[in-house]
Amino acid sequence: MKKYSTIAFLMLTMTLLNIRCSNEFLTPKPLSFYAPENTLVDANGLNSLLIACLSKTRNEYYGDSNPFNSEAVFSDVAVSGCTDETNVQMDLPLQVLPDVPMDTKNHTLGRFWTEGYKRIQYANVVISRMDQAKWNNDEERNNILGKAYFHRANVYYRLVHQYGDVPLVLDEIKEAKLDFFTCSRESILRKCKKDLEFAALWVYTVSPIGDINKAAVNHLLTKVNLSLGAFDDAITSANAVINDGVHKLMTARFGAYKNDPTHDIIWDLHQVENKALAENTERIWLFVSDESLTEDGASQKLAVMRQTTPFWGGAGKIKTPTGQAGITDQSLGANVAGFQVEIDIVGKYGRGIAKIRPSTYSQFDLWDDVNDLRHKFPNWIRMEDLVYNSPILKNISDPYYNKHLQLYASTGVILCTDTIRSWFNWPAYKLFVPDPTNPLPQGGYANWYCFRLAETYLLRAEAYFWKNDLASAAKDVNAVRTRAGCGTYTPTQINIGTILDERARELYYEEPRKTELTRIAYILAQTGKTCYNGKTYNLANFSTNNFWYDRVIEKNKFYREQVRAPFHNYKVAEWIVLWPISATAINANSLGHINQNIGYPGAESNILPLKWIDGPGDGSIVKQ
Amino acid sequence: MNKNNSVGGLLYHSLKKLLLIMRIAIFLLLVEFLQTQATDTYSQNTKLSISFSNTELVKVLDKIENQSEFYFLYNEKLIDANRKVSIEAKDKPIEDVLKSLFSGTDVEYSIIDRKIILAPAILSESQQNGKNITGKVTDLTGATLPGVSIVVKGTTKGVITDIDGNFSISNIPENATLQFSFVGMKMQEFTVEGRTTINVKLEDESIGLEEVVAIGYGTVKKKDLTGAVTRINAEDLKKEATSNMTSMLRGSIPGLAVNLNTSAKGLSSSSDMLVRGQSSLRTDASDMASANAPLIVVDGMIYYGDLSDINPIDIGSFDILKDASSTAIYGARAANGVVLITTKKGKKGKPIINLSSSTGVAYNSPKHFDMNNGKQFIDRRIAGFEANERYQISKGPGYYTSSENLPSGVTLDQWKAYDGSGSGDDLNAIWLNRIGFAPIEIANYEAGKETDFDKYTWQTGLTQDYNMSVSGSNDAVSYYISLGYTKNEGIRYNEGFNTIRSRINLEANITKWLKVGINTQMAFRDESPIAIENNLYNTPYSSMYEADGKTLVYAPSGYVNIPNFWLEMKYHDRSIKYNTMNSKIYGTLKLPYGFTFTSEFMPRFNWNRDYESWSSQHPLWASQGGRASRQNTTISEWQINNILKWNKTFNIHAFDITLVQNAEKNQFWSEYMYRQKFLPNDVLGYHRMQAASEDLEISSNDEVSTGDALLARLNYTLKSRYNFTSSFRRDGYSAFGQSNPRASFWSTAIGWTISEEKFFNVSWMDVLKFRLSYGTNGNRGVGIYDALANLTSQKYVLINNGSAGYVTQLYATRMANSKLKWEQTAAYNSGIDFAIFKGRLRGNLEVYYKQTKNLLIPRLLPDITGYTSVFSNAGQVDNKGFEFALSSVNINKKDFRWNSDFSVTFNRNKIIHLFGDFKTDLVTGNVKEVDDITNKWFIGHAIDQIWDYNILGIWQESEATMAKTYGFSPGDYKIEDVNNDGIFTDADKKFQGYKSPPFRLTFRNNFQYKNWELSIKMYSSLGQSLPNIYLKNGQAYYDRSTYFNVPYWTPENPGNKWTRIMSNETGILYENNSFVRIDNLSLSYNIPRTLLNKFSIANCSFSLVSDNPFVWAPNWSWMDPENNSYTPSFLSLKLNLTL
Repeated sequence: MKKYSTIAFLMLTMTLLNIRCSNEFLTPKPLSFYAPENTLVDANGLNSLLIACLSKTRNEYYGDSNPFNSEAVFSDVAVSGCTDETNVQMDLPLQVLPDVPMDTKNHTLGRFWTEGYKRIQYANVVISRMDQAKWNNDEERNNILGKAYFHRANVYYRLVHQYGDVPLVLDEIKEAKLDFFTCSRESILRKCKKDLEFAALWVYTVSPIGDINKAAVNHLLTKVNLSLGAFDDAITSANAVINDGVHKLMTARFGAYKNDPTHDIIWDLHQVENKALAENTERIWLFVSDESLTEDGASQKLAVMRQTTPFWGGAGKIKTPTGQAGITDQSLGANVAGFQVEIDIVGKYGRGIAKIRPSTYSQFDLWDDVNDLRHKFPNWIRMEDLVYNSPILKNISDPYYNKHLQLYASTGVILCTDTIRSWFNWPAYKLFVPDPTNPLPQGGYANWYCFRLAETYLLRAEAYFWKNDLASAAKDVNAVRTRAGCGTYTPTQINIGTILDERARELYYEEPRKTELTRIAYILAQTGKTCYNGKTYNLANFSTNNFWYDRVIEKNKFYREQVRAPFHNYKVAEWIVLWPISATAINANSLGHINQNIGYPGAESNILPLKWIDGPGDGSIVKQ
Repeated sequence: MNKNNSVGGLLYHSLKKLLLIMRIAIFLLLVEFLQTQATDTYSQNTKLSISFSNTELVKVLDKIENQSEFYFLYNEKLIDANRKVSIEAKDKPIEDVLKSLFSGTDVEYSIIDRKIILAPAILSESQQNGKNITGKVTDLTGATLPGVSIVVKGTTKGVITDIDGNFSISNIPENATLQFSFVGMKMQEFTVEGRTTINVKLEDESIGLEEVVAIGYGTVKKKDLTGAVTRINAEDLKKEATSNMTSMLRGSIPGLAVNLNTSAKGLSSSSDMLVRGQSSLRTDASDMASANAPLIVVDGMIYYGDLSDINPIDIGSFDILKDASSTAIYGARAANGVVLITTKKGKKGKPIINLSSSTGVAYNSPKHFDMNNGKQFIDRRIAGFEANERYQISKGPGYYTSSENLPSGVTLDQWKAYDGSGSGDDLNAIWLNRIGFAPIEIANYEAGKETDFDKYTWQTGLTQDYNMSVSGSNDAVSYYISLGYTKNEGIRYNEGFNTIRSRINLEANITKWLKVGINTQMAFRDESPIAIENNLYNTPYSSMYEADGKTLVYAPSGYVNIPNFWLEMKYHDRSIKYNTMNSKIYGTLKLPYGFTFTSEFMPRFNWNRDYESWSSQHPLWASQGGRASRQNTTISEWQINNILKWNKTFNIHAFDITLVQNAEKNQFWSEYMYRQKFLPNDVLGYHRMQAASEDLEISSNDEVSTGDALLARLNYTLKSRYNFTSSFRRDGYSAFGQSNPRASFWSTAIGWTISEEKFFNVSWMDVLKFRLSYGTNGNRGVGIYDALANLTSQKYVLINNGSAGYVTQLYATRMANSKLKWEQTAAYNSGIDFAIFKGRLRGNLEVYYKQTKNLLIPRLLPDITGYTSVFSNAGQVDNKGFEFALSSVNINKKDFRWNSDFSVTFNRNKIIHLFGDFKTDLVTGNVKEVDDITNKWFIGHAIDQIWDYNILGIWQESEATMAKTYGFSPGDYKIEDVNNDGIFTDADKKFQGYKSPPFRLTFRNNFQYKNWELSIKMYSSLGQSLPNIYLKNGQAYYDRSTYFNVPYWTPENPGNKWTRIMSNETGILYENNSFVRIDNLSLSYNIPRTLLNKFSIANCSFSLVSDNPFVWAPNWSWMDPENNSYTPSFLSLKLNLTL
């Protein structure tokens, strides 16, 4: 008894001695992710955050229902084309409200805000940690800092023209913060200008393609300068791009198709194979994506055909005059009701479902020169260029097989059941992007222009226009026009309307149209200049009387005539010039106050926004 | 049990007590009696040496028990155990020792193997008019019961039955009442009334106050329980059990809600269970479920594995710890309740071999909607077009109707000319093109070919479950070994699950003071099959196969975006397999002075292979040249428990102290490769990854977490009617390892069995007990790294010097919160246990109130921060509720027995605080805590309270103009515009009902007639409202898919519930989702023993079991109220054979 109890107690004591309540045992050990403390300490670490900014910016254009579609829908050039959905942006006053989810399967407008502030966060982390990191030299440091400034300014430039006054965040946020206040857009733009001017000094002239370079900084700075009414500065910053010795408009054939006589320079400029070529001097900033490098985390294709080309393949949407389904979107050789497809359309034009649909303005009214290469086959495709390809037609010997599509029968009766979504013309030279792994191509992993020199010309033209230097303005517009084979404008033809027309022709689905229209509306309201439409505007009643609304109503027939789609009538309103601040952002900010834009519920409790003033470091945000 | 003799119930001493007081042990005892009679000579061969002077008899008996394997059965009432005795014996047989102890007393002893029964000698006949009674006591099966105590009521006079269950008692009054009692059996009384023979059948004591319940790191007698613990013996659920353990629990325990099983695998996560309502807040539904999931403990091991790895046949019992005092022993993670699972052990006696098999079918439950047939499909499609497209282009009357059904006044030529089809003569094609038929559909319509896709979607699945177990025990070793194979098919085509599960429970008595054992569970689980999902794009006129009848049509309905739903099954090869092992290796030292020390080491391993390949034979994948992925995941985990216990009784004081030291480490490693473009081809699939030429993803993820705990518990019982429990636990967890690595939790509880008091004199009330408890618990339900900022790295592409290549992007998705700590729940529980009418009616009532504070809550951040939320500790949610359970023996006749179990539970929660942000209302000037409107969490309201638009009905034709001002059309929901501003915003939302059922009811009936047994289990959820999105007729595009055969609004067929096809997105109707479900119906037949004995079979029974045969939800307009979809019912035939 004694013996075993002694042994037992000994064992017990030994076990209990082993019990250590050490806190080390409980220290969390991250094994497969990085911690800020040991990673964001040098140029490499901090630049990786700016790469994330690039990636998030690219997401604006890539994938299905990308946010960029909204830039077209809230403008004069296009409308939402999803006629089979009830939850789409058609009746804008009814559907664009603070409480309504802004990110759905059909549109992702809200991502401009949420993803935009993420980019600001990444940039702010870089800016805040500048002094703790190790640098080889000032050039390295200031290039990184300049790029961070660029990314932050690039978001704010968009936000202030999408949402007006928004909260300005300039520091890394390390713990829960719920007391944000709105800051005036004018002062935010001033801050952007200051940061970009620094960046323009330091960011490298030559960077890897896809990354930010000095020209990109100056291009953005031009837009910011314009917004602030600093037209001379805008001309200076635009000159810094146009005359940098690197960039030049492409006027001669180049690249993969340069020896193909059926094409032209406009075609060459937008082919996927050519965008990243060294000889392409028109490229300023390119989003890079590659079919062989799909492990880049985004795993989003540039589904541009799906977004922008007609839904010609919808069952029974397009009929022959004999009442037969005329066209199939199945690929070459595929079986349709027992017969093989012999005429390939989907492989040639891609499978579109018209998430956005061009307005009559951008399809027809806009085009004032028959020689405009941008509006010519095969750059520009009309529905009538397609043929009835359903193999069933061949089998039943329908006379329309392999004949060109027609919208009306000889009787005058319409043959397309959904002319909103399934019948319109489009710039295929730009909107066709190969999708090699998909038999029903929608747009694969491919490069896309973000900033292109043609826009810099049009921005400088604008600056000259605002300064009433119409001759210089015409010269810049004509540089773009003549390259496309058009005749020139005389200085008297130049006004903000013709500049906007040229932008629409050159930059369809490239420029953030809503932002640019609002920027111009803001300039008109700021300067009080008389617009071509005879009206003058001011900032005080921006939300009830603005150029954005007048332009959209003037040019976009869908909104003007309140065209009926299956579920909605297209409609717009003056206050939509600024999007609503999402209720989610306002509600979560429980200790501060974010103003709502005038016209939306909640604006009645607005307070005077704060403003940014210059000073040491990042300056400060103070009461007005 | 009556207070008069419960104290005098048989007491067993020493370690064996634990075993013996389990009801099950009764049977072992009997088996052993029978078995050992002929062979054992232990009593003759064992020699004892003891020496005592003037010591209480009980101590001497204790000593004998400690020194030998003998133990004593006696009635304290009849034997004076405190009598002082002296004895001096050296190497004497037991016979001699007993002789010396009891010579000269009235105690007679009989030795049966190792058991020694002590009983008073029958008093000599000194009185007249006395009677002699003889008889035999058996259990319900007819087996004799030795050792039953028989007492003349109101006296101390009594006897004990002999080895054959016979008794004889003499010289008792004419009208005497005899009380028959035996541990684990119900006490019975008989008045003599002139009889000379009384044969008694004793029933199992189902009040079970002597029953032992598991309470975590130990057990306690149910009568000494102070907390809210519910035990069910798996044996009781055996007849209705399926191959999945969660089905056993569903509707079986008040206060435990278990989701409905809808798959071949069955539910396998604790997230599918909920004890006493929700107290944690999460934004995501599945996070919410896991944050509120109870803790699962298997044989003392905190079980993080998959529940489907536990074979139901291995389960001996479930104990559900519900209140804070009983769960406090698991402190830091027990706030959501604890489910303790105890697996089976070997039973004393000859080896028991059990074989069981169950074969059955899984079929679609009756509560579902059929798909449209051809005509219904066309009608619906026309209605869809008419409801929506007519607004776009004005079309002539009858545009969408077939040429055969033209409205009056429309000629065929007019009809044809509507869309320029004048020159066509294929009238069907013109018509069908107008309603969006694809060529393939037109061809099938014209050929009169309708396909019922149900046969390609649903199946009657075969379910098979075979199990075998061997168990037994002798003095040195007890063992339980089982092996089971389960192969289930589900109701979805190609849905399947199979598993091989085995268990070894082994315990060896190495010496008298050292016991070692191992409990090991191993499972091989296969979840590979890719089940077919219901596909609304398979219209009745779609084609499954090409003309050859073998090749799958690529797009059955001609809609290229929706490939044939069988292609995936055919060309996507998947192997998902799990090998898991959970084990406990332990040793127990028996120390002097009532101490025992147990050390447990509990490893768990999980090896998971998820291999997939996507063949280039699939038309859509051809250009990828074959894709394949391999993911290997290993989980390695250990837990250690060192448990020191002290168990001692001093007269009226009984102490039970438990001290535990615990530590755990959980490690996870996973690697993944995903590649494409296989060369020369992809026929080897995922077996040869190096044949691929392009990477899609190569990644790995490793995680590690640690935890430790120290805890102490005291159970104290005074006079066996006042119970006191208190516990303390200090926990550490690495997820909170930065600032708050540790937290403390404690509890206390009291119980008072008032029916044991002398003053309590309610004759019809057998037991009445009050319990009261308070305790604090924690919830650590966050990800192990949720307190840390993470920098995720990903690749990105830039072009350097003309060539595209990868660069790294880094970004943070999680804001750090180094102050993160446990969520804490403080809970009060009060309970009443009662048994009346001699146990015919018994039950309990629990009332509780829980306050959960410092909620681990994903605090919504303004998206301006760049983050959505950060895990923080904030807010408070209170839960209150009650559980009432009642069991009754309604009829108890010789051949017929009917008993019922009924329970009703109520739970309601309320958000008391959220983030503690206060704001002055600009209008009213009141200062109010800020709600979280985004997550629909409102201070003062329940988590599950509905806050949404109020649906007034449906806009009718006559209201078209009014509807249009809201952008709505007739057939859309008419929503209440609360503030009359013409638009619908949050200001128009109203508080409506609750999404979780406030009331849950269970009702279970069991009927036994001779060898037949019928049991019916029902449960019900009452009072909840759920959104019925299906009423909106918007789940499928009307122009390219089909739908269920359900109503829809048209001007000709208006209504106020089902909207027009593809109605406006805004507004959801909430319907009362209350339901009653018959969950299980089983009919069994036990083959009579007399027949079985010839074949040496101990037990053989057949059962026919039906799961989910019926559900009734009068106000719910969709399919199964719990699943909202096709739901399986099961019918199986089981055979159970015990050798």
